[in-house]
Amino acid sequence: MELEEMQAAWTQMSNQLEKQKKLTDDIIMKMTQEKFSKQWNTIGAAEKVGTVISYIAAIVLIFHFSKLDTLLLQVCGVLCVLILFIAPILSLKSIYGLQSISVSDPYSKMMERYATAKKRFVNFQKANMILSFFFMLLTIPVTGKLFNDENLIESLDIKLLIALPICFLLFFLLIRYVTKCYRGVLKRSEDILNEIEEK
Amino acid sequence: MRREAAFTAMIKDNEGIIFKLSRAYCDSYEDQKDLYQEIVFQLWKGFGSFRGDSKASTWMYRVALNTAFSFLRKEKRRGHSVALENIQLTYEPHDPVQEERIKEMYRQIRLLSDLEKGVMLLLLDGKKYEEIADITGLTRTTVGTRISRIKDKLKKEMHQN
Repeated sequence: MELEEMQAAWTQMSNQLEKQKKLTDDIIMKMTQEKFSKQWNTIGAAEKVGTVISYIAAIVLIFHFSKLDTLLLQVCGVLCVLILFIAPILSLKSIYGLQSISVSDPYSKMMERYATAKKRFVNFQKANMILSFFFMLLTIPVTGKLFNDENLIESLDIKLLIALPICFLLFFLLIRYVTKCYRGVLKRSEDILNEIEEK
Repeated sequence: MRREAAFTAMIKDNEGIIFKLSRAYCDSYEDQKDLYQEIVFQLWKGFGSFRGDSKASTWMYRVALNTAFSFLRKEKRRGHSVALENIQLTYEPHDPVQEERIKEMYRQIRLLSDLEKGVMLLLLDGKKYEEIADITGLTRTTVGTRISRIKDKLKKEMHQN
């Protein structure tokens, strides 16, 4: 194809493209928003899966609640159920707060909303980590009773002494990994917002 | 709100530029959508600093070409991400012969280097050497050299087929 032929084909295509305008205001603004929001999609998806798992675990616990035969185990069971229901909601709510920031808002308003949402997100995540730690402690005797019919609180045997440090270690590694992921996404989101220039 | 309206109006007026450029730089439809979205986002980011000193289309070409270059660099490292579902990058020529010519034209454009592609697109869009130099950041002489190299490449390609 010679340059002149290409130019003719190009002009023809350009004229046709002019006639078949496809974009709407809504699609254009969605494109600008999507780039920011999708930073949170992976974490959001992981949190949603976590929420479903938590709710299933809570339902299983409620279903077998009668097996918890001492007051202390029952209190542990109730607290576990509460944490399983509350923690995912806190997490999803804080992520949604950040994800829904509109990059088409005026710059100062956008940054103000981001700062508030970020503060809430960090606070919720801190609260969630504390809740998760208590959940881990509570879940050991509860699962011991439910799945092994053993009262680990009363027996306090070698199994518990082995399980506890392992759980602490796993918990520490998990928290470190999750925090790193969250920090990474926060950083990328902040970079995007900072790049948006004020008129 | 005024800023948003001005931006969407400008994009709608020049949407062909983004379409043509995305198609020239990416082979797959998904990558084209990805690049299209990235260009719109970069234009939005820089829109605040666009004072209208140059034509909107010139500024858009400049941003779009820079975005395409950095997009290609990133893509090589990362692989493509998922673009918006509702972006429809379609060109409907309703004429199979014309569609074949367009495909052949894009095939030849894709044989060029990244910078040459940019120069070629601008040349095809009827831009003068000065404008091409302004958009690409090359000197007028370099633009001339590049264009003659592009012509040579096209001729060579034609003789090979």
